[in-house]
Amino acid sequence: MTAKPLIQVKNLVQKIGTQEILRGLSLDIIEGETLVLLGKSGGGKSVFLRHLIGLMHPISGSILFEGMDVTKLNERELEPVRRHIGMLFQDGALFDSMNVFDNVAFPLRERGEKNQRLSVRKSLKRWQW
Amino acid sequence: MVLISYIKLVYSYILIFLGEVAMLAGETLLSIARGRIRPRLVLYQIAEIGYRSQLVVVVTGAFTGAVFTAQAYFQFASLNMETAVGSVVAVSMFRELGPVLAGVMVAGRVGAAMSAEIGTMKVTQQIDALRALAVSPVDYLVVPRSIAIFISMPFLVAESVGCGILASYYVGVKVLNISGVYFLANTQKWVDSSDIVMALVKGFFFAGIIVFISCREGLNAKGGAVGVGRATTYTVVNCSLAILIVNFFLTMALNIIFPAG
Repeated sequence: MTAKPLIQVKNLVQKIGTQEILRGLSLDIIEGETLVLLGKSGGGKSVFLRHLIGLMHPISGSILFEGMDVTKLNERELEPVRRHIGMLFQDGALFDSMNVFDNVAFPLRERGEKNQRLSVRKSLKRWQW
Repeated sequence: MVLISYIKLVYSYILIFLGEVAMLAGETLLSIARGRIRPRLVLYQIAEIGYRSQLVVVVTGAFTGAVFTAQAYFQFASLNMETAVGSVVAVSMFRELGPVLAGVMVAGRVGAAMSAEIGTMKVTQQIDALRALAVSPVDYLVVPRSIAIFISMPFLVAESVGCGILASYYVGVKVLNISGVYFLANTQKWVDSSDIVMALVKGFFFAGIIVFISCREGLNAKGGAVGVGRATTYTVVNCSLAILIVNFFLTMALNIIFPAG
């Protein structure tokens, strides 16, 4: 029996200027699956990932995350979806006004989680900081 | 033909600019109404915007008051009206010079900094990182700055006006030998509470102009360091122009509510 996909991408189309970046991209991502996207520079890998968390909206096509079409959601509606997705940007995109501790603590602080200090120390220790 | 298409281009730029500033203002006010306020960041921004802008505002106000007093004295002395200098300077400082100069100086100091900071975050993908972490850039960056500047600006205007009048008194009475009693009496006679309200209302409006234009330029920055520089320049130019233009309409409207004299 095939597992139900967590993320379903259907016929995703995106253009930047006259350049076609995504040409009807379709794929399913199953929960627990490790998927690697390979391609040449400028091939649309980052653009696809930006669509996945709603940082960009496609010209056509859909992205279903747990049955919800991410492409149809506005910024506020995207917030609960984004809380379930982690993304590391190509250039790091760390908050350069904050130190390492505050960068790690930032998402915890924003979600009002308790024991932030302990959680951050544990995470940093794991990476031998 | 070229001129018409140029006018169309400028016209559409102005409309898009005003629309984006209005949308950002609306979104910010909505976030404030929903209570999406981070008190720690608001306090930090009050220190950045209000506390650290005091020197520039005080110096600008004081020297404007001083030079205006000297110039008015040289003109009025030939008519034997030197004692009216204090009231003319005080009313002008309250109604026009204080708020406008404080606004322009804050736009240069604070607006440029806001635009550069947010613009740098935009071009280094930090804004995208905020959005990816389900944190609204408007809530996190624009709301604290807006609340801080709306709180700080009336105080900065009051400081600018106060120092302008003090400098006017010093130059008029101590340097140019105008009678101190008449100087103060005329100032008290011609300045009333409506002048103070007018200064503070203008300060409040200019705060909105500065914060929303600066944040809009920062959030729209693109193209690396050059883009951030361009956003900062546009911020200072657009804020200064907007303050001067809005000041005219505010003066006309407020003079109906608070007639001079």
